[in-house]
Amino acid sequence: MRSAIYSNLFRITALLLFQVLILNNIKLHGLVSPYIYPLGILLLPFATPRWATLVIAFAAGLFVDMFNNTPGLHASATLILAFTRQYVITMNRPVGDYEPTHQPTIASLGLYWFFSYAGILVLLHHFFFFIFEAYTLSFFVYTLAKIVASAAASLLLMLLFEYLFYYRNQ
Amino acid sequence: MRNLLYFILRYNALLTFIILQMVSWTLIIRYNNFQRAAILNSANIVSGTLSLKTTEIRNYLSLKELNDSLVNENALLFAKVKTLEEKLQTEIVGANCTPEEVPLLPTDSLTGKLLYKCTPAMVINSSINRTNNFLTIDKGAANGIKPETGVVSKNSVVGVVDQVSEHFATIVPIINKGLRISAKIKRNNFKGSLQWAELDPLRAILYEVPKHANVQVGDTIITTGYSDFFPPDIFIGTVEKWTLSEGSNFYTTYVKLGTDFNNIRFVYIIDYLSREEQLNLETKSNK
Repeated sequence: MRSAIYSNLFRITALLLFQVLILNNIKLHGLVSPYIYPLGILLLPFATPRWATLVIAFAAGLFVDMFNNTPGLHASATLILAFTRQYVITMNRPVGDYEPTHQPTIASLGLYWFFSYAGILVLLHHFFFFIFEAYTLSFFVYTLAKIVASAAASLLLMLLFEYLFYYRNQ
Repeated sequence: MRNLLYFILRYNALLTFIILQMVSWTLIIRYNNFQRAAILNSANIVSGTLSLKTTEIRNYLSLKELNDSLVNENALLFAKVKTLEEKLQTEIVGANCTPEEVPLLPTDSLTGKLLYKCTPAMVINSSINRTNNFLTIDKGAANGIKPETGVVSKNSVVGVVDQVSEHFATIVPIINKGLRISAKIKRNNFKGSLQWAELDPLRAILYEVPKHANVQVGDTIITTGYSDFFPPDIFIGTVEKWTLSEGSNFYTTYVKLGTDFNNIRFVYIIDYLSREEQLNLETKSNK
């Protein structure tokens, strides 16, 4: 339990630092701005209390906001992600339901499960983030393109991260 | 109380979510200029439209008062206009008139200034039904009026300045038997001499137009510029009828004058700026 807390905190911190120190400085294209830090929330164990998930998400979002000069935007979007996580987990039940040893990772539940789980939540997170950022529906098509492109890039990064650091270990 | 605690425990996730979401939105609105501007803007649009409508309704309801005040204001302005008009009639505008005031007068084609010194004056006394009529104006030597200078009205020739005192001057108008001025037909430049047809303040007669000039009713009569009273080409009147007596070589042309001496009020005294030069030259040649 204690080691789980530490490992999660460590992972989230690492992801946040990677996000704000490296990923934020990489300008791929106007349309593509990937965010990998939501993975820290996605990978929290199923047993995490919901309020704790929310508080962690809020703190993580606020941390990214501080580095991006967008107070509240990431916090709000990540909060939405954390709040909906529970419902997506319930909906996305694997065949034969969850077992106590299951973790929300590729290693534990497979690529297909993880992809649909992360895909829905990352799309949601990016949707709200970019909509709040644009704060208008005037360039809706452009914003939509930005959401889809960035979500694809983020998902790709998250899968890479999963395979690189955690697949083997478990 | 227990129910409340139970409720909070049961929905702790939702409550946490709502509270934290509120915090982040407070942050968004407080620290993100664009979002704050957008929120304030839409708020302003709502409140602005609302207050506009209220103002419209209020205006509509107070139309009667507005109307009353406008009527009062109108009356006030009318009174003001009247006093100003009276003032204007007693105090003639300026010492020099502008080219727009007297479009009759020729202007320098380069500078647009009048070639003649022009002084506006008001007629303060006039007679029209004597053989030798006179006008009196309210400008005299103090205003630079000199004897034997031409006088025009806004429309046409009036006469020549006769006597000048310090503050007044008399004018011999065209409707004075003593004044003859040189005139011509604008259409074909045939010249004649214009003199008043007695007892009619509206008409004068143009003598000495030769038989072959082919005068027609409606022809325009203008000044020649040979006399130094008037500049050339100033409107005098139009031909009303003409006679050609048996054996005579000259027309007798009746001219309807452009100036209505019955109600003449403002006149302009014109003084050719180079007149003295011209006179000096002419006297030299005559010697």
